[in-house]
Amino acid sequence: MATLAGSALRPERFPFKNGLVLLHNRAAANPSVVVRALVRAGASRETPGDHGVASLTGRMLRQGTEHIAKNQLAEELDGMGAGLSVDVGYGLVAVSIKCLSGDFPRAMEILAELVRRPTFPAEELERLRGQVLTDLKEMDDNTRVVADRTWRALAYPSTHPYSRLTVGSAADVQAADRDELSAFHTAWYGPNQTTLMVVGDVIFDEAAAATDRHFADWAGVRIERVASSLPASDLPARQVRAHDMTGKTQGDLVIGLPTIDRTAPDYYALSFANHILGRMYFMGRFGEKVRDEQGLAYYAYSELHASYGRGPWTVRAGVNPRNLDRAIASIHAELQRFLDDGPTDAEQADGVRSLLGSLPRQLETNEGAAAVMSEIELYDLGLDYLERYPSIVRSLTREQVTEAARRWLTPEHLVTAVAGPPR
Amino acid sequence: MALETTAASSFSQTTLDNGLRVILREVRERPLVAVWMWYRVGGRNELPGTTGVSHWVEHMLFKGGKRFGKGEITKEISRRGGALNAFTWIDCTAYFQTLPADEVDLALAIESDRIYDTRIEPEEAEAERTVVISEREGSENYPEFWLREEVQAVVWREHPYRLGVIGPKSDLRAMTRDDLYAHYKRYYMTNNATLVMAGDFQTQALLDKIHAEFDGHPAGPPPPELNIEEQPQTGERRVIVRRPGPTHYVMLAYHAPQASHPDAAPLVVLSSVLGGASSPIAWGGARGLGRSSRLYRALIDGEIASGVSAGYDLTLDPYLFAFDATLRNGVEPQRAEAAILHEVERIQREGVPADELARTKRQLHAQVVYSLEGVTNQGFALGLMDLVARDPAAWQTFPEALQRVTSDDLQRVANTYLVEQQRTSGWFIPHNDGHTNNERPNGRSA
Repeated sequence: MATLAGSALRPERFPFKNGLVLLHNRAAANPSVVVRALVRAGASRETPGDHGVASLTGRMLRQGTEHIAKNQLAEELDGMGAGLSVDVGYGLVAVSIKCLSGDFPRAMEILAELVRRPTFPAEELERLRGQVLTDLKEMDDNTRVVADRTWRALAYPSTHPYSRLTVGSAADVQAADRDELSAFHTAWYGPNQTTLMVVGDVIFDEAAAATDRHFADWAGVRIERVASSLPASDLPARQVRAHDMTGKTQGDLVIGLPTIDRTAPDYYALSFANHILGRMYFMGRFGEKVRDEQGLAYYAYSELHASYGRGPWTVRAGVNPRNLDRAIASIHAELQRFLDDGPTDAEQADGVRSLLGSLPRQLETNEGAAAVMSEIELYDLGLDYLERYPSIVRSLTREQVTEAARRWLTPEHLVTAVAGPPR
Repeated sequence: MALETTAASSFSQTTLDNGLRVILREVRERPLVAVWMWYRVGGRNELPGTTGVSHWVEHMLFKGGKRFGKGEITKEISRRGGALNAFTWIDCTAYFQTLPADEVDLALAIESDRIYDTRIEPEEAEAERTVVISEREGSENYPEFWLREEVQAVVWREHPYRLGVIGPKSDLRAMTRDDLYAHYKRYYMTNNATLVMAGDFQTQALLDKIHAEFDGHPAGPPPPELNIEEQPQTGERRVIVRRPGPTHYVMLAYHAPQASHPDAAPLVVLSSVLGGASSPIAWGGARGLGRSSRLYRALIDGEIASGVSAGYDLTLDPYLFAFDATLRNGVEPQRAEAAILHEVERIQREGVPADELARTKRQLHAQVVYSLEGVTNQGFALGLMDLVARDPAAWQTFPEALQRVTSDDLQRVANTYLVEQQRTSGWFIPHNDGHTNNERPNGRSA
């Protein structure tokens, strides 16, 4: 990567005996550091009766631990000027602290306390429950969220975690109790489910020593790959579903289907196809057609979320209801044109150039570097991944890209969901 | 003109003969450069009938000029792995590109082409009308948008800040291509713009390129000055919005002074004590700070709201100190309003204890540090402070001033500005009679 990204990313990887892996990257441009525990304890770990438990467990980590009460934690973090965030996804929970580099030792201690020793105080759970229920009402009123939720319910079988939002339903949130959360934590939070990342203005020796001090005596729980906890997912039948919401002026549109795993051989070719369809230039061919040429939408783009199992590929657009049919027809037509003819030679060349040229920008911030490093670790891409990446991208042919799109972006399985004003 | 370098050597600045201000900061860590072009025109320069014109013109500056045809600006930057965008705000319109450092010539050519040679073809303007309306409609889907727009419309009687940025649909439907073009010609000129660049370049060599690109552009007639002075508010104003929505929202807005006012620093600290700190000079920063703040304790821990914030923006003219709260299911707005006012009154009466003030300053310091990560954000901070504080050096001196604020300052500004007479109170009350929110049966096949 030396020629493209300079020395922006030279990660070091250090596995501990209890299964925990430390990933470190030094960047001294900003006197700050991101420390992040990626725990494979997302919504994919939930069983049929406990939807929403992964999300609540994650959000309860900061509500009190064995050695730090909630208010004390809030005061201490604010006193350091440190930001703490917990993001619960389908596969992973990311617990992140961003702090000034001088506060790194204490940040690591706090991070260990949060992921290892939460106490799930009952009164804090009640408080959080009320807050989440209000959040859910707001989500019910949000056209983008409702479109996504409607799409997921149609695109995946109900047994699949991707068929719903990670937050769970109001009934799920009402039903969860502290013992359930505590049991979920005991079952899935452990060193061999965790990758610890230290990215920023801290040297490796300091990162390794702090990890050793605060995480080396963490006893392991069971090891199970996230992918193996996902049920099979057959492709859906082509269908359209509308969710009417009076009081709204714009409809949000999601069109797509389940596709592939991040580790699938077709990943790079399909990702390249998505880049041309919905990212490059002005949000790809979809953006150029639907927004720039036809003026039908403020936003139109596509995204490929290949992670574990059949990750979704979706096109998203915000459209006035009277333009909806035209927008849907245009998106279908653009996809079909791509399936028929593939990328042009110019698009193929620009696609390679833009993907490689954007690397220094992606790696400029600690957060950006952390995102690339987590991808490397989670999908076993190898620490030399960024050195190999240019040749992977350059070796893609128009034919491979077209074939991958034909194999995975099959129009007969496209699910369309719209949430917005009734028509 | 001579290149002036600041004492701290954090940047250099000069003004070309045609009035274009240039601010350059060398950052050699990564092979990247950020290019920002700031125009001193935004919502504050607009009149009823053509409200939203600055924003629409911003969209048109991606549609081609003399050297770059339609769509080419985006394509040229994108194919090199660069990123570009623009935004329109009450005080400015700004365009930025971040790209590999060896592509800097392209960025300069684009900005040079845009400043005088944008075409604004009638059919392109027409196609963009629906895009801009769609952008507004996307915002209209959120209850907070309706509340903020209503509150802003009554906070000011005279000042154009009352009109916002995006514009009402009636103006967006009525405006013509000639309105856009006239606005473009009136405000887009070297003597109404600042070029800010941060990144991997050698300052003198880059300045030579800037001269080569921009010296040929003549200065234009100075754009009209805004001479509107808002009359003092004489009593509390109240606004109620009833629409379909999920819950109650409350917004309390107070008149507050502009960025160049000595009270700006205490007001930033006051908003941080109340609602947690964010960087006042740039985007970005850490999430999840401020859970020890007064309002978080009183309204979130107090089970009144699911979200609450206090904000004070740095602006050219006097603007707002505002509170926003999303109320929990079943909580009435008067309760949230009383809880916010109670916290304000405590500070008015007692000031802020030393340990709490120190904690707040540390948050502000850290957020400023985080927000300056990367050349794009550094260019933003220099350009914003050049615009609103009329001095790019304020990207360093303003954060320093925050650290000198005392409890007495906080008490004084709270008693000066956060008073009933200066307040507009807005409530969003969900009105869901006959409201539909459900899946339409009989999904059809396509």
